[in-house]
Amino acid sequence: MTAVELRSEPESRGDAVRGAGAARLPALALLAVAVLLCLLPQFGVEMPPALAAIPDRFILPWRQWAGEALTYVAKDSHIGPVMVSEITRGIAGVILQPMLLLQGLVSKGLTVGGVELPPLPWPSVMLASALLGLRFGSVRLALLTGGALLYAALFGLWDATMLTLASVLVSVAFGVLLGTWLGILAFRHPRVDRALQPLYDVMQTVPIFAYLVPILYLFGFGPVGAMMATVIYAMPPMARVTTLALRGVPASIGEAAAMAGCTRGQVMRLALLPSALPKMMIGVNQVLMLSLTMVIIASVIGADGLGAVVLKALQSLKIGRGLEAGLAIVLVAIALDRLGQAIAERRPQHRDAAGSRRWALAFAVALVLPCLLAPMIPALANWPADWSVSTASWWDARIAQMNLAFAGPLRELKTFAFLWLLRPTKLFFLAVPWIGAVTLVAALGLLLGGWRLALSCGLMMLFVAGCGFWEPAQLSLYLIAISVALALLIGMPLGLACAASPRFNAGMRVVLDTIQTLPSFVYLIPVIMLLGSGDFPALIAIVVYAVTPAVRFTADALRHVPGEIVEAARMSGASRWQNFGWVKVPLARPGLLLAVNQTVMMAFGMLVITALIGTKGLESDTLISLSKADPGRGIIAGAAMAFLAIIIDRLLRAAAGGQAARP
Amino acid sequence: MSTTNRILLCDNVWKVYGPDADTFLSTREQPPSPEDLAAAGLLAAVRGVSLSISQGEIFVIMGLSGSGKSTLLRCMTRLVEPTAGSILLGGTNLLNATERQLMQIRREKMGMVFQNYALMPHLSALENVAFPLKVQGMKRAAREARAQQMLDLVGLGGRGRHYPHELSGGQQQRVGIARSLTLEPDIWFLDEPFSALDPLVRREMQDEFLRLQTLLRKTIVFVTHDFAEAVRLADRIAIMREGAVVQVATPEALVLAPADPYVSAFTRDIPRAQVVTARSAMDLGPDAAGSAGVAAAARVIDIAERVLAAEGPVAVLAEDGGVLGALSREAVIRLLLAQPHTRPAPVQ
Repeated sequence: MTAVELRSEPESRGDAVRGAGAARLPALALLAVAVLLCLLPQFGVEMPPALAAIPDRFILPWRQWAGEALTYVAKDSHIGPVMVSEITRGIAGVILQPMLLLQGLVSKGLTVGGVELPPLPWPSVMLASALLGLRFGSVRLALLTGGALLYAALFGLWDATMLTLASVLVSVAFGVLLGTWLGILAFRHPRVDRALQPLYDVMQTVPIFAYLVPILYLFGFGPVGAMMATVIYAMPPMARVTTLALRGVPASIGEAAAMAGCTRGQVMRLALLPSALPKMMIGVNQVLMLSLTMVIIASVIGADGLGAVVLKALQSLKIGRGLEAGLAIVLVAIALDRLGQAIAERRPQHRDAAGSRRWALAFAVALVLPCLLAPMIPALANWPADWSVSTASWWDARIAQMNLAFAGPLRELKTFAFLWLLRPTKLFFLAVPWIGAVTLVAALGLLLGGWRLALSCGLMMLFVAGCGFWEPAQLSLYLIAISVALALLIGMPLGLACAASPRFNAGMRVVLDTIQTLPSFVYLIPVIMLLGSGDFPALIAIVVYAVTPAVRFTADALRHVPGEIVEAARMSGASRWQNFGWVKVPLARPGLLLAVNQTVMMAFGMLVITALIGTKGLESDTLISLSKADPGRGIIAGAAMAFLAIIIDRLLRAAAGGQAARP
Repeated sequence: MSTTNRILLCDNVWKVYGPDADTFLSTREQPPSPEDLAAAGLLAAVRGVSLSISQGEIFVIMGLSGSGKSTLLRCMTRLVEPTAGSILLGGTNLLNATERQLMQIRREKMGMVFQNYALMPHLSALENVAFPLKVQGMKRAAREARAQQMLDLVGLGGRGRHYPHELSGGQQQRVGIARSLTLEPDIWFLDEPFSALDPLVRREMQDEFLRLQTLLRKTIVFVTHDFAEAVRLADRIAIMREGAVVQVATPEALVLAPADPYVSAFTRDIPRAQVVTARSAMDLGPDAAGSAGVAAAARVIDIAERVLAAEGPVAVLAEDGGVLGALSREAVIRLLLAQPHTRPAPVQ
């Protein structure tokens, strides 16, 4: 609800600018007071306890309310004569069917009419994937798609990989259907669009684990719950892209269809949607990648697949095994991403018509031939155990060796970071009184956007302070602050280099594209391997993950400074550095702030996952609420975290000028 | 002109954008001026347009961008809902038609060509042309056979399997034209069909268009911002400015007797000999030599060589062969040199 007002903030910026002269002084005064309030404890000034932390008796029992509300909805409420729980279980049942079908097809085997059918033999799946790569891309893509599966088979991860793929494909199908439907709805009714946009914003900032809690309640524990969470998490980009793509279709195409005598439905089905399809494929690809991320994380609530293998391996400290499975995730992610991109970039060619029958035949042969041969050649039905290799023990040995060799320096690094970076920052954040934090946010809102931004951000911060999770919130914020600072320190110079040198940029892009494809979960593996668990490894994981947008958006911002203006500055006799400091940076300011914003958002995304390696902030509360079946705790901690992210997002967007484009 | 069969009649058509535009219009006794509308926070795209279009004529709507010409065309097809007025197509008021009826009318009576071709990118040329038949549920074989005929008609028979992005602009618009003719419409709407093409191709497409029209004899409403194009193609031209029609006349009458300075500004660059007919250039009287005369409706540019080669003035003949007057070499030369014609234009 608060977010609805927030959306209109950029439009009201005109007022803010006009009022800037008058409003600036009080805003600056308020800012000074806020900074003072935040810093007082550092100078040993004792704050009245009620101002340092909201006293317990004023804290509303949000957590209990949320828990009770959810329990009521899930267990007792009904719409008419039908219990909500029956509806949700019904939906779960419907979704389960295609999931079981696909899982049976690729991994578990199917029973059709009393006859037990074995799953597709591995060569069928592998050949079909390679053919897909060949059909939509090139030989290289075919090697990638086929090779990723070959790797899985070779390392004894075939079943896990197939389960993961099945979950991803079914979630993508549902996510795409739901997203397309909502996208069409928003396209037809601008009012619906205005209502949905802020909802998507919130959905994409709520920590993943916080999704899982209510979903477990509503849809039950197990793969379906995991998949519902996946669909909800991955759907918003599809809906957004669908609306945008439909708006991008020239109006005359719809008119041409109407003039051909189409009904309203036919105009959409036969003309607009197919014309928008190439752009919508970008959305499909995003759903694909988000689904993969979520499916991996869903192993935390008991979904099978590659994520579960990694999780189990890490929990039992079998690092080598975790690394192998992690690499399988990486390969599957890259293969899916490249295949999705290749399909999205394809345009129909008139030569295709003749070839499509041949392709269909090739697919049929690839799928059926191994099925026919499998009963005679058992090696085709199941990957023979003695064909499998494992490098796990080799890795374990290397890592043990490495840990031994670097134990000293690593420990020193950890101690140093803890003493000089983590501990002081943590103490600083923990000492910040709630009154200072709320005032600071409100003052910044007033300064950057106007009173509406100040009010909404201030209220959100007040909720964070008063929801009973103030200390975890501070612990989350401190990690975010350090990691964002480090990510920017590393990323922005790299972005500068990218903008300056096309060759450096070309190399960097390959690296960034790959890094961006990987599910966040993967980042934890090498970090745990080398550093164990705790705040420091979490910090490293977040920095590595969040450095990508810092580099990319910085380079973009600088590259988009109009060349003519830079030339004009050079002709005015500006030196390189003058040109940079006085021309490029000021012109690129909105883009640079967007880079900061994206870095913060990515950092939040990764912070959530670091709960798995023992951080102590809000993220850990959402994770713990899963295992303790305490839905209120997860929901409120999740909401607090989403609010923190939204506050930073809105403030930075307002600073960037409000008009900065959404990524 | 007025005696022939009127097929499309627009009566006082308005299109006004803004909140409660229809109540604003209906409560006014006098038609509001653009200033009145602006004061009410409304924007008028079409202001009180009345037109009648006859069977088989090429009626061109000409105006600069923002003059409301495309909006008027879309009011005629009800792609845009007019705010007020009536539009009669063969006797039925389009504005009273239900969604279903309108769909039927479009299927049976109307065809439309768009400025940016508006081809569906996912369909081949053949499938694009067959689209209006597919919508009606015709079987694939039958509709593609018909579509192939249409592609042959526009000279693209061999490119049916190509996709729009594999065709040049001119070829794409040929597909667009074929598609708009698939359902054999009575009335053919063209919205700046050649504006996006480069000049050489535009010329070629105009010739193609005229060739098709001699074959098909459709009633045509053609929108353009190019006055030379309008003059070249039109039987009659309506000039629009700020949503209102300034003048409706034949190209010749527009050039010879522009209603106001706005219209005459357009006509300035048009070579006179291209629009003036023998009838308006001739001298009255019987002193013509011989019977080998020229047709009264012929444009001077087309008969100039014959008149200049002749010994004396050439007879101008009516359709029944009767002599109307004589065309002198001097009159022809004066027109070719683009001197303003001295004789008052005949009243149309």
